[in-house]
Amino acid sequence: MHELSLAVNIVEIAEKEAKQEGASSVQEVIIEAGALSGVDAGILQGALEFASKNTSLETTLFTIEVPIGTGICADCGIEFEMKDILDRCPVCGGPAGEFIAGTEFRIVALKVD
Amino acid sequence: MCETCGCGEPGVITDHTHELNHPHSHESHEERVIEVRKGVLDENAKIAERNRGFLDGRKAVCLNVVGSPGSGKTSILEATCRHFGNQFPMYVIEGDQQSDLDAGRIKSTGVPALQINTGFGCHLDAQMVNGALKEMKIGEQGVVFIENVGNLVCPALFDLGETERVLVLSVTEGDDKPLKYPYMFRSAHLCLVSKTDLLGYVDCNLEKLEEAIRSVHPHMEMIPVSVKTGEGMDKWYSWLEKLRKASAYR
Repeated sequence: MHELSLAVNIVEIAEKEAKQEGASSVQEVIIEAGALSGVDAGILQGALEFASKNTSLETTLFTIEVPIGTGICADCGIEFEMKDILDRCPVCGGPAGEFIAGTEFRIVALKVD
Repeated sequence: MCETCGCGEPGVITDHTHELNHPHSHESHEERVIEVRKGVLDENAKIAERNRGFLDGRKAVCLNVVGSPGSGKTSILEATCRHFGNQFPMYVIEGDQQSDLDAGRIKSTGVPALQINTGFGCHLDAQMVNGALKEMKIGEQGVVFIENVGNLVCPALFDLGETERVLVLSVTEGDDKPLKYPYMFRSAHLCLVSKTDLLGYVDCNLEKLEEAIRSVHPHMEMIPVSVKTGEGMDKWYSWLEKLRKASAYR
């Protein structure tokens, strides 16, 4: 459910940036929601369609990229790739003590006219 | 393309016969890319930091108390308010979709409480807390409890400016919850496992729960408590005292 308030934030930020740059219309908004960010890309996509209704981004394409995460094993200390927050160390089976990538949630760029 | 003569447009001759003193950019009006690189939650994070500064200035501790509806958050806070009484200033900010029932429960212990209704919102955000903190006139070296909206999903993403996040999970919810709601467990510092007086009646194994917590958040502390019998509450109170003293000498 929080995806809707996040979608409203995205629409507001994108509208503000586009206005500052003097863009007449926004073709595409490129978003990154890392695999460990806690944001569900599928739900966010639907929420963006809803949140952009009756705004200047009504016909804008929202592209959500999901960068893979990296964790540091709490038991053996190696770095490993994580596609899910519950993924465990491939060497010793330990849980991730720390995340060093994949928690990002940001607007990367706008394609405008 | 040039809006006066159309030069730059395919098929238009760019041999100018008109004067060149009008705006004459030959840049195409085609798509261009604006680099943004802004966090979607940056605005919330900024206000959360402001809240943190406000609390630091008063050497106050702030706990964001999260957990499912009915996990026992308010009962634990009521008991805590009664236990510490007038030893230090305490404040409770209550977040619920509707009603001021929880604020009423807290006020009956003598501790000031302020209710925030989120309406259709499923979580508190830093801006709501900012307003509440200002309204409550927080005193020196006090403890501010923020009881978040009962929900194991949405509040995980929203920093409120708290010192630490405390997750209340009741034994009736089962020992598999950390695996089902990993983001919330990952975001918290302490897990209070509540209603341990019911352990004999429900299928919840504390060892299994501890293992599930560890697989999601290897560094999280866990304290089993029962408000009914008082079991484990002293450990929770010591945890809070320790944090309060650390903040006072910061």
